Amino acid sequence: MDTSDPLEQLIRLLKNADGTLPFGWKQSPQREPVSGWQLLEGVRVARENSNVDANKTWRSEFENLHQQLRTLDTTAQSPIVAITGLLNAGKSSLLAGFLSDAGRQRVLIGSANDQGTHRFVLWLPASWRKSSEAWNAAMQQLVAVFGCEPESLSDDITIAREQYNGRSFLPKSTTDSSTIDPRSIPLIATDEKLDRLGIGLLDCPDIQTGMFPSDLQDQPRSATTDTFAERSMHVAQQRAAMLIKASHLCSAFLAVVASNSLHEEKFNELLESLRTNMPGVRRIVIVNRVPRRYTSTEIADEVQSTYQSIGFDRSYMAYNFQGPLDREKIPLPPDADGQADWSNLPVFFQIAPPPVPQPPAPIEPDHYLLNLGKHLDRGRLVAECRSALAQRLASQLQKGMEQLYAELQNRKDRLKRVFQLMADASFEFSRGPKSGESNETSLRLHASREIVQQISKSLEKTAPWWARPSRFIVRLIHDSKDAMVNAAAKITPLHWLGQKSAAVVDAIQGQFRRGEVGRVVNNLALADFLKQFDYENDLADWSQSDSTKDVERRCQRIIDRFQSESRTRLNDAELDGYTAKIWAGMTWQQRLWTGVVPATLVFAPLLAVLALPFDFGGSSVLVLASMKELLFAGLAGVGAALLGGDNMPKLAEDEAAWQQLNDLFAITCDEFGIPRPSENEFPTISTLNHRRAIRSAHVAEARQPENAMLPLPIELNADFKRRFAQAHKLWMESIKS
Amino acid sequence: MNGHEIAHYDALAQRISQAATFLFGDRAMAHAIREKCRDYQRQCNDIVSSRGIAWLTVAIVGAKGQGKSWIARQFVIDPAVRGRLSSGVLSREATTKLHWIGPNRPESLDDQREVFHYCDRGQLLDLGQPYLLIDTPGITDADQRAAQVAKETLSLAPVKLLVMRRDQMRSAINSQISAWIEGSVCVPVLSCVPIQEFNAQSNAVSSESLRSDITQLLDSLRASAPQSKLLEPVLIPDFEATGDEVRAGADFTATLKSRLQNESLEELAMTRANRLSALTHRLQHEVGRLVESETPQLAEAVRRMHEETDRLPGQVVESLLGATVVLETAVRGRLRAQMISDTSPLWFPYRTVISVLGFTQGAWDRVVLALSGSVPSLFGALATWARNVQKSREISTEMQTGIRDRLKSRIEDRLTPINRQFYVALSRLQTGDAADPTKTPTPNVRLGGIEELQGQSVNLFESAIAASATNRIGLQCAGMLATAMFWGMLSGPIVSVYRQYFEASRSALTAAQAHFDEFPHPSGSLLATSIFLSLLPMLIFAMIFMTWTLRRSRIQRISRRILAEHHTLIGKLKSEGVLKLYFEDPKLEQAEFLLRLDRMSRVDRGQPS
Repeated sequence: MDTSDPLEQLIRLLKNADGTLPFGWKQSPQREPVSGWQLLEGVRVARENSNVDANKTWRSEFENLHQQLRTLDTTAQSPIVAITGLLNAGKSSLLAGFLSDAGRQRVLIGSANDQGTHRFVLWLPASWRKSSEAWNAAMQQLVAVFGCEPESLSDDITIAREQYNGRSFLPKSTTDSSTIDPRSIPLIATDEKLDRLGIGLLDCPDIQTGMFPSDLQDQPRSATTDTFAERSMHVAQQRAAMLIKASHLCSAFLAVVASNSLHEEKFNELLESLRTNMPGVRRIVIVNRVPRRYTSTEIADEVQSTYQSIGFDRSYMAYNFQGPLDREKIPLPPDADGQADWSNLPVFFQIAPPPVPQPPAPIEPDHYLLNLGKHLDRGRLVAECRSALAQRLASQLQKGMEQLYAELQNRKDRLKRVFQLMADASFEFSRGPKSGESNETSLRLHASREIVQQISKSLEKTAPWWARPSRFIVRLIHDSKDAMVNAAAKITPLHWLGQKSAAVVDAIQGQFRRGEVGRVVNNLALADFLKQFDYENDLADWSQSDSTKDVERRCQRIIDRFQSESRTRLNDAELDGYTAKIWAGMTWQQRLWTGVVPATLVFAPLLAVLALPFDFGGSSVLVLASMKELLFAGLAGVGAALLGGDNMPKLAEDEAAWQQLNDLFAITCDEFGIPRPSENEFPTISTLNHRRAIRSAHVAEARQPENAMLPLPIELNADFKRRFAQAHKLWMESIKS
Repeated sequence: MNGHEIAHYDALAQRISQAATFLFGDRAMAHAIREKCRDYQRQCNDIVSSRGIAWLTVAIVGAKGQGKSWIARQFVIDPAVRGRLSSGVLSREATTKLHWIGPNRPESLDDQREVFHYCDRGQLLDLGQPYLLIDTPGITDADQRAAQVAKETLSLAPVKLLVMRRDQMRSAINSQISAWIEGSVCVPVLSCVPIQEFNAQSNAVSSESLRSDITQLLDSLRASAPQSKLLEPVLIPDFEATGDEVRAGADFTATLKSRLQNESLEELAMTRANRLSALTHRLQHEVGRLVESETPQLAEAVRRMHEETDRLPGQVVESLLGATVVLETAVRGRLRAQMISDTSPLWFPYRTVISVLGFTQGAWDRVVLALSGSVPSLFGALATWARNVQKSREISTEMQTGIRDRLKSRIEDRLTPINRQFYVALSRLQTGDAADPTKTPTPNVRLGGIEELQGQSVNLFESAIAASATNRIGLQCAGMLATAMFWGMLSGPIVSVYRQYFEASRSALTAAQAHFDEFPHPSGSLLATSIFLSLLPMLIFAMIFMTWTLRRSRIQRISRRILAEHHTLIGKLKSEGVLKLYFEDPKLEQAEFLLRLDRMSRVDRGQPS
């Protein structure tokens, strides 16, 4: 079976290796081509065991499987057989039976907690170490599966047993014990007795051990694992997931079960998951510690009836070797070298397929588990493993492609939702207070520098003769055009205005800050508004402080750019009419009272707006206020009612406010690195009474697509889809053949 | 009693399943929650009614293949019944039903799942009191029906023998079962203990590793079920290795008897409350967690709503009182009023003068001019008077109802977007689509305790004013001084007029001819001038005194104190649960209820939430 060519072709296509056939194009000004491989970066695919290994990405899993498949293709036929099973079913005892006396000493056997196997231990024939090809293949496989180099099992019996029990003796620097659980580093050992078998044996930890109370502080609490019992079960599930991962290494599985657990659901689950994850790889059911009151036929029948639905290749059993009764039922081992002490080890013999021997009747030498090697054709084992891996790879690829096509739609939908949330958020904070009975919401004007300057110019233009002295202030506001700091320096020491005027500015500023007049939105508030409308974390993952900080930074840039680039103005003629009316509306008493102060009162809100950023640490802020608020806000607070706003001429500030909203929306798109919507994509803002779409902005586009906060939409390449389908078909045919 | 108790637990289960149905309709989550509630009701029923058995019940529970039925057999002397309790590795020997053993048949026996073996009290192991024994199937039986029977009947007995083989002690399932049987009296039974580790005759653990494993086991059982009463474990040696099963059985029963004989009936009866409370906590925890993990958006919306309402009262008080102009004006107004009312009416006309000054704050210049007869100034002063009266009325209204009114309007402002978020999340759960945000109902949320806050706020303000009111003796002294000043200055003209009057009277009475002209007839302007001249120093004194008494630094100090006390008050009202959010929107209320369940169970158990 040669899978490499069509598979390599598929992968090259997916990676767009020759640069001619991208998966699609990113919607950015340059129409940048992207490969499917790039798009799959960071994509996580739901796994059967979703609570474990959730961090593993599709790409890393695919690469691991691919790497394993390639290793199998390029190296000698050196199959690995896993010894797996339930807690204290006798896995290590079974392994020990295959090993030399020296090797056996290094295996940790026993039922106490400190005798448990908590790490994967790969035992290889000693001859493999001499053959660099087989050795390297095994090492590569281990790295591909476990993600780290294995640790050698010590020759020192005490150390080896501690290693078995979960301790790592690797130098701290290589394990970084704070991040890597030593139990996830595999152990590797060799034994010359395995040469006869010609296969490697992987001793696996059980899948039931829970959490020890002493581990309590190491285990993070999560939403799904809260109580001790839940967390303990979680630990057991993690072990099961680890076993499934390791199963990709193996060409056959010896599944060991103690006879009393024959009907235990965990054993069923184990066999099921081995079947699902490594389809076609043979499973051998091994029943240990059978009480001697049962005949081998009873057990054979029981195994057959219980597990035939899941399927197994063959089955072995061993009688419990302890106790004085019916000892004749314990067979003698086919002890060729005669050295081993078998009094403390189970002797397994075949019970399926038939015939089923019943000791003391003799057992065919080939029917002892120790002679398992005779039933295992190494070539076939490797082929089965390769086929299982290829099937997993195919299913992984299919999942990836499904994910890719789904991603296209997801990105479109997500962008649409982001447009909407940006529009809704901008609308929300620009909204003025409800006006009485009509219940109609009006927009507040953004008191951008452009607008403040326009108003101040207009006030100057329409100022009557008696207000000349106070026009000095207007000039101050003019000066502030380029340097806010200078303006502040000039504004703050307005001693000549007298303390009263300064107090007025102060009071108005306070009103702005407290939100009693208009609304001040700094970058944090802007981010908060966006968050409020981001129901599905489309714009950012708000639970992560990094991501929130990033949004806040971008919000600051949005405000800065809006302040400097928004050129939206009120209608000049209308504004002049408006300001002229203000001057005319002042009573003679007010004009004469203290000369310059009434004019200060008129300008106070404007000054306050300009000085506001200094309350927020000097960063620019958005100040939203209606004309009424902007010009009369402060007056009521200081007890000098100038005039009612009702008889003022109509000013089309609403239109200007909407245009500002468009500008702000466009700048927000730019700063989040997403393309501005086209005509038919503009989001609509719905209020109780009417709907209105966002329109194009009067601000030049300045976007950095590489800084995009969310993935940009992709336009699919139809050619790719066609070519990929062809290549995939070819590959599937090659797997089947 | 029982009926009443059951009704109580039923009500909780019904409330939860109704909330789930109301919120999630026909979605899978609603089904899952209703299923949990049904389980809970059944188990509560089992605990409360004990299936009509007044005696003690002892249940043998554990994972598959741990030797439960062997243990059950050790309780029974009657060989016929013993024979019906089979155990072994083959499926025909497995326990797949619930076996009741004892002299009393339990009520509502389900023949499909349960078997009753009559056994006279004398034919059962003597535990010092009558009892029924329950042998259960393995909880981890691959046969789903058997496992289900085992799980569903875990609540039945107050005493549980939790059986596990020595080599399965570190299995996670033991903690899980322990959590499921929380509240019971739990006797861990370790079967198949190797003879090298345990001497059955002397009942002594001879291996250090077994001793440490037992400690770890007990720790983990305790950690998973803090409300259980955990007894010392009973060990059974691996009798296949010894070859003496009978001896192992006898040793086991002897040890068990010694463990259980110290447990009084009353104490065992008390486990009922523990088991019920453990069951309730488990239901709350599981439902709360389920809702929270499956509907993070919903949870987030409700959490934000709580956060906002937590912050709102503080912010409103801040905005109301923090507007220093309002608070300081209010404080000044009240202090002034206090000063006037505390000054004795004896001090005429000083008291009148300070009243006038109080109402014409900001227009004293015009008052002085008006005194000199300027009509425009009089009007100016009167206008200021009117404005001040109006303003003080407004401020007093603001203090009386401001917090309440502002809170009400703010709540709507703040909660509208969060409410929208909630409905979008909910609609996504119910239909898979986001709701149109414009069609979400307006938030119907009430902040309870606003009236209380408002009332206490007024009291706070009043008591702060009272505490910092100007000293009464000082006020009287000032009044006396000012009055003396006035009358001292006016006494000259008055005395001279009276003297002239008396002299004229005397001459009119004594002399033969009286002249009307001899009586004093001072001109009006002279009198006015005298009064004006006498009044002026007092007026100036009053102005200085008032300005000094109501000086800015003092007003600010009082305002700051009022503000600080308000913050304390809000904190207190929140912690006492007076200031609390009420969801009058049924959907919100139900979601809040479901999400609060887990927190409630944690608070009950004294765990951090």
